Amino acid sequence: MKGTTIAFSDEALARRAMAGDRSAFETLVERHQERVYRLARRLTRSPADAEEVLQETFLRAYRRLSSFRGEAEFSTWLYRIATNAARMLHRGRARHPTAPLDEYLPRFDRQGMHARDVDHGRAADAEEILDRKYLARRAKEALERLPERYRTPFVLRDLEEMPTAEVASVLEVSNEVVRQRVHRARLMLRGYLSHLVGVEP
Amino acid sequence: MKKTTCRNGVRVLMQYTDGVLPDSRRSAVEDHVGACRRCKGFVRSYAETPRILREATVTRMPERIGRRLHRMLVALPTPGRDRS
Repeated sequence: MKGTTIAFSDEALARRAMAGDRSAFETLVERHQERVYRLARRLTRSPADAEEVLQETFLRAYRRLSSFRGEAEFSTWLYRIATNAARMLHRGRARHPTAPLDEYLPRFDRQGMHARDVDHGRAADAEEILDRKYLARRAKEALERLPERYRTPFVLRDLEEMPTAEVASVLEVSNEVVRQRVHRARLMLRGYLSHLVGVEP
Repeated sequence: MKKTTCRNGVRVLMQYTDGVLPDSRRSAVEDHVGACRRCKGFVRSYAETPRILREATVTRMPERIGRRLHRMLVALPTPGRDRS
């Protein structure tokens, strides 16, 4: 049976799984596990945390299949479960103290014109920019320092490249709230990574 | 209409990139950015930021994690019947 379910839509598979078809649920897991893991990795601090979110997501999806009404796409419903699982994981843990990124927001003079960017340290040299491990470390630090209310919409919209309306549906907020939060995240991250993104002083 | 400054141009950048800014605001922002060296650099780095972070955080799920997930799910009762 396994090979024959591949052509079904997610929603059709979810209906079959609800009716007790185990292979339909397995197909849904195979389709989405890679992306849910990547999302979880971007929302959490470690591979172990990401695995916990991955397992929790499919476990909850499995148990709550009957609450999937097909009003949103199955993937939207699933990513809502995943982002909630990541949020719960963070809440259940002691917070790592992180300095806010507000100091990296752009600055303007009294006329509303760009003030010089604050020099947040030396610029990265060409070798560092090409060093994937260095980039990955800096990116991770940057995401960890973003408050959750900005990190989750930014990760969904800009890293997972979901349309704004889908992010709004996952997070159950308006498109405008998504835009405001993603925008603020981009501004803070731009300042924080200024030595990598070619910010002119 | 209020004069476009760097500050109010930056404020609407996300609406601009999402294509939801009304035409009149859109052309006012474009006129300002076209004439402002700092804003040109700003817009470039604003667009570059998600790309750098996206590329730096691409990961593949290790196979062992997929195997553990599979083992966990096959041990569960029939889907949709568990109300716990």
